[in-house]
Amino acid sequence: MKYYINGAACISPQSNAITGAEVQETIAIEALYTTTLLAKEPIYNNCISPNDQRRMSKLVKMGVYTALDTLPGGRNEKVDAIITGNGLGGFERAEIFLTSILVNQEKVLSPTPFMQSLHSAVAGQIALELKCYGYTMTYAQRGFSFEQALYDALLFLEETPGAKVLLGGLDEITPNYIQILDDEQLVKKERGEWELLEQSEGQGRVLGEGCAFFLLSTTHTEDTLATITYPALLDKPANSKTITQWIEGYLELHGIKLVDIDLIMAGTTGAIEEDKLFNEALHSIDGQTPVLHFKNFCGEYPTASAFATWLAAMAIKRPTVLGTYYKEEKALGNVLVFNHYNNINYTLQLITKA
Amino acid sequence: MNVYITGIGIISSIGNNQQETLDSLVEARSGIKPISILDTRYRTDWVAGEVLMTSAQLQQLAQLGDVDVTRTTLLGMIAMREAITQAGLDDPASLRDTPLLSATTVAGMVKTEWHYQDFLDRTNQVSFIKTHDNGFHAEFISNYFGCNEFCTTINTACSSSANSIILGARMIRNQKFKKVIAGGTDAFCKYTFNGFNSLLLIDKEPCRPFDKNRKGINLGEGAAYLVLESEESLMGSGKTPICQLSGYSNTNDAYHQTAVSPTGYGVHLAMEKSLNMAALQPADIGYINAHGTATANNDLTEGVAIRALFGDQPPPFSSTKSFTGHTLGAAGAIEAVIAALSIQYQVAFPNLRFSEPIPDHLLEPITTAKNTTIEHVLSNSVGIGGFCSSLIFSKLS
Repeated sequence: MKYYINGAACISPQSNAITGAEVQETIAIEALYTTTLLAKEPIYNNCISPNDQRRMSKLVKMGVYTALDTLPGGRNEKVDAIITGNGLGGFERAEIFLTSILVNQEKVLSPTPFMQSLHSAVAGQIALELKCYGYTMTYAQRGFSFEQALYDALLFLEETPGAKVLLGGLDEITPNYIQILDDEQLVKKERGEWELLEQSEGQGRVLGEGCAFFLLSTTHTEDTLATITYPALLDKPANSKTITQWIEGYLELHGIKLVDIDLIMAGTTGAIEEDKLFNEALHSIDGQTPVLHFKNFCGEYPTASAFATWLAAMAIKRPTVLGTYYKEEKALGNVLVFNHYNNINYTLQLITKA
Repeated sequence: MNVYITGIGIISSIGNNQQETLDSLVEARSGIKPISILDTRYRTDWVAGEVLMTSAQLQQLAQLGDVDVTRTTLLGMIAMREAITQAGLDDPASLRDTPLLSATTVAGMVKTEWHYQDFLDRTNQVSFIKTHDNGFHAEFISNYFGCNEFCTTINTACSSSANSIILGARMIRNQKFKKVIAGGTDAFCKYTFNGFNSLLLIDKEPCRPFDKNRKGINLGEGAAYLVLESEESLMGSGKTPICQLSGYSNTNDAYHQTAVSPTGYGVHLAMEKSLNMAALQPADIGYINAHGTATANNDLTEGVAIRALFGDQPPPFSSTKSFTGHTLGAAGAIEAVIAALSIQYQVAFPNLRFSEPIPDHLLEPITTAKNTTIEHVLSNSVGIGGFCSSLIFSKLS
């Protein structure tokens, strides 16, 4: 059974001009030279009322906007399932509610931030916007969150061919969250000598945030961008050999060889210790294959691989979106997304020309 | 393809294991008491379904040494151990190919809320971020027991762990895995207590599900896990399953962020689809374990949906949240275990503190435990945000 990506949209640190569902011909992604990559939020007025905008968390706004942007029919599109992956939840609203508990000593609190802090608020709000009575679900397992949502989406399509599934991966960060991770020595202090993450020899990540949604179905349409298949998940591998064997096993399962991969989108964080096993495995498989280190464009967060999925689907349609980061002549056929989060959640996705 | 339940584990305010839970339910012993463990300004005067053990005591019961984990994780460990022991899966080799599908809403907030002020003040800081998020507990538990094949945490608010069970069933029915462990855990904490209180949904007194004069929920805490196995997995094992999971459905009410539609449309749809999957008629259900939170909105709308589907003669039904309180992310699984006990012991459990029915549907839950023939049990869970899930457990055919 083939699974098609029939719509894709994204909010990320990249320009809104290239992350909307309309694929712009002239604009490419850019690596951004800051230590934190905040999402460039669009103007929400077209799809969310000012009142609702005030009430909603950034996470919910990004989710609703992107979900609607993904659907060719917008708010009128009927989907059968809404499945999201979200690692951190509505972090900013959680901070606000928690702080209000402390400041007000548990008395007379406003409920809105509590409601907006829930991981499930995104899928719930989208179901409300679309009047979707179907299957709604949210996965919150760290760096596996998006791939598990993808797994569920494809399982749903396997059970119900012809159905339409709205799949999303999103996370937000806040100044306090950045400070918390900085206290744990997990964040890069400065950009330093290096231009790209893969060149960094220091510790710490460049944090980012963003939201990517996809419309999946078993039907090929004129809107089809690419095909996608079941991801692979690997938990805390002991060494890079385990990772390499796992990658080879995944490709074999899909009847392709390493030489058939036209581009690897790699989830290098630029944190030298964290990337150690990942880099060893990457170097053992990349050979002549071009590698794009996607966290240069979106930063690190639990569902960053959803950005890579979006970028892969876009690039298959139009490789020029990759700008100077992809120099080959040939069009992309097979893109392998190879990611890790915290050197614990390792994932693979295969996105292919339809 | 049949899905069998071969092990159950549970801890809540009415017992630390399935036997204690069963005894409390049959003997009508509520776990809802004045708050005594959580340090909150609402201690003593307000009530909740707390597990009456400190986290240090839970750590001992969980057989964990000196390791920094949250109360949510400890509750999960205890329930998990009971479930896999019963299913004969307590060695890592037997769990290597077994997904752990967990669920939570509170997660590590139960610890974070104690250390956040220090973080803001930049004094006496204690690291909390590693245990804060939803996924920590599942990662810890799966690493501890050796079930790393596929480990996830689902969060759809109050229906979360019903959805873990549904995912598990789907994995088995579609032959992705032969056996899975599914459930969830949530600890009682200030964040959720104040969250629901800010929505004016909490009753200061012990809650009264389905009663005309109900005033809201009591929160609870706990954990439950179920071992689901395929027929193939059972073959040659010599195991006798407790029951089967014969139907399920996940729908969305899509009406409002915090309220269910007046007809309980999403709940009605979930119950109906579950019955269709199980090839059953409403009359085949022997007991309904309702979501029954005791909010004005839920018990009205869920009741309307039950009345519409089951007509003049609904089966015995109850909300066991009158015993355990609302255990949020753990509720779906805790009530699934209670449904399994209902099948196993052929008893419909009572609804405490009910006296007058809600005029809109006039449904009357049973108020004492009823020994009766039960072929099928229906269990409902509804999560804030419109998430509706129903499960049907059946006697072995």
